[in-house]
Amino acid sequence: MNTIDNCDLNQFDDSTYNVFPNSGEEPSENDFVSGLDINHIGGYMYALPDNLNIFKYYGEIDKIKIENVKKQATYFLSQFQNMLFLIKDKISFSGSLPSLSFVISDDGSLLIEWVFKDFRMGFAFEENEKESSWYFASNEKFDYSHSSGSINGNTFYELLYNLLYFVFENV
Amino acid sequence: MNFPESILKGIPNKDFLSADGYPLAYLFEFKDKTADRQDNNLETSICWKDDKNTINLVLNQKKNGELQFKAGVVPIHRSDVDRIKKLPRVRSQFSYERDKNPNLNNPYHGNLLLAKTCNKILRTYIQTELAMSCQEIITSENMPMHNKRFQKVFCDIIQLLKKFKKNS
Repeated sequence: MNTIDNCDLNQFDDSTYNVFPNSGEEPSENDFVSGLDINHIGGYMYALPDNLNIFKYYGEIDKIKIENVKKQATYFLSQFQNMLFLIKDKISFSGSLPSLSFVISDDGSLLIEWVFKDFRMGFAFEENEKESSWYFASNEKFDYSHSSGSINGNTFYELLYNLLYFVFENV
Repeated sequence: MNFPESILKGIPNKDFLSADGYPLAYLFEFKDKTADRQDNNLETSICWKDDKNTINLVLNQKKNGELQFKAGVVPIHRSDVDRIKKLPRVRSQFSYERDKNPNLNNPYHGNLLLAKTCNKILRTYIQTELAMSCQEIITSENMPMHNKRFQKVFCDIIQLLKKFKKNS
């Protein structure tokens, strides 16, 4: 069984990041989908196959009233989709993934949850970005493994990679 | 104080469920009810499953003339709540209680409690662990006594028994 801790980060070298929209290296026209409003998730949108189209409810972020929460969420979703696109090319995957759930709390923060039968992960975006956090929790099938922390810029890509790799290996 | 083996959490509507029907962490959002509390805790309402009537009571509970928990009710084993309580970084910040308000119409009512000093990261994490511990959602439709097919079969059996009694 793969766990977040034993994922091989070596598969993911620095050059991989260069495809991100703000990196200066613009992907070719064929890499993108044009049917979506790219302003929602910022920058370019990669075309994802139907079974991986987890952003069905991303329009919810339009309802966010706190600008800093919206900004963090927009950036996060952009990076999340790019990472998803990269990993699905590295791993043979034919299943389907559930949609992300978006909940805006009374205090204006946003919680994006990704819920699977035996585990779930989430990303909470707060007005004070130092309080923005991520978590992973599982049931007995994964020995109640759990982890959480703040969304830190330095480890953001590693975090996303590990979480997504875990998903593809265990769904 | 003795607590029953399970708690129940009512689900107001489908916004509290994922697209696949799993409870979201938001269902367990801890609210600040400072005016009602003398201690330094946030709370989220639950019902203690003291007996089999509790589920019916929660499912039929009304607020402003409407059913309060339209999407059903979900049980959680108290052992799971205790497991979360014992997690090293959670310990002493998370607890539960039975509601002591004698004017309350619901004798099963209780609260999960979280220290107000608990940071948001841990708060979100505890909510997630609670959502992860949820068992199968019970709705009026999948409760046997509320299921129309079950009701019909039940009525048919009663009719047959009456006929049988009359003939004998």
